[in-house]
Amino acid sequence: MPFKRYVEIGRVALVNYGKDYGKLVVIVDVVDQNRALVDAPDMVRSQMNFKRLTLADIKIDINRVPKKKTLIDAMEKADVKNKWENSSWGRKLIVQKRRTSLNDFDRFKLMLAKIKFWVVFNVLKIGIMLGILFPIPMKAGMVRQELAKLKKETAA
Amino acid sequence: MDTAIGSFKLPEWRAHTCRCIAVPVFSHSTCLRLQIFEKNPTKIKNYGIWLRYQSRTGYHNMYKEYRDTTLNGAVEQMYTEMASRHRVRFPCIQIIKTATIPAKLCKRDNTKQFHNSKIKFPLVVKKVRPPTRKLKTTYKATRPNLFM
Repeated sequence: MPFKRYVEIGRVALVNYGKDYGKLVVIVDVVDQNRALVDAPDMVRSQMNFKRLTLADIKIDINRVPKKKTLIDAMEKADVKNKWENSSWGRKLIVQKRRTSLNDFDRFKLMLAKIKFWVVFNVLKIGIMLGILFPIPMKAGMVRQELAKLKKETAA
Repeated sequence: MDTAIGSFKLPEWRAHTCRCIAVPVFSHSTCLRLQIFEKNPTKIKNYGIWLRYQSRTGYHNMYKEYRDTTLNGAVEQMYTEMASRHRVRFPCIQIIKTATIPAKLCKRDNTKQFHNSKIKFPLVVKKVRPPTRKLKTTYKATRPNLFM
């Protein structure tokens, strides 16, 4: 299997260990085979071991070691923030963060929303099985879409 | 060796890798140690280090190159590399000279291979580890996926 994500200048990576855990950084230069010079709009440019980085699919167009302002402009142009937040990986992290930051009242609300969802889901399911709700045989895909819509609505 | 810089105490091994100048205070023998900080710690430089070391059979001179952002970092790399490759410990190494080398004058292929503005390589193995040491466990339920 060929590699898809390369360490290159402009590669966006997620920090997976250490003080800057969870930050999205851009590889701005390579020090040697183990370390990269890494930069982000809200941090001082520093070197980081590749073991602390997980490469993302996003790559921005910059020259070696750009000025901070150039880096920020390039990140805006490549729309890194939005691309990240809309990617499946980014979305998962946002949901994880949301879940850990719930307080007890939020968890109660979530429980109620889940109950509501599953009640509707099961009613629909039984209705479909008995052919009551949808006399016309509905394609499985369409049913799944309807349920996905319901799930999204009740998602925190 | 006094490991205090001014009133700031450093662990022993760190003191060896900090650049300090000793300033005699009031013509006493005690010295004020002032730490010299790297002028440009965000710029990657090629450091050439000339050293003289004692092996089991005699003294030898060596020239080594390192890529790092600070001189302290390069010297630290040098000490650890000498210890691992030649089994030479800290007291047996004397640094003759250090210099930042422009890319054209670097001698070692290992540093020259990074002199590429379009450098690109894949990370071959993904190191799977918990984000903090607290979350480390001896046993895991599943085998790790090491593909990047």
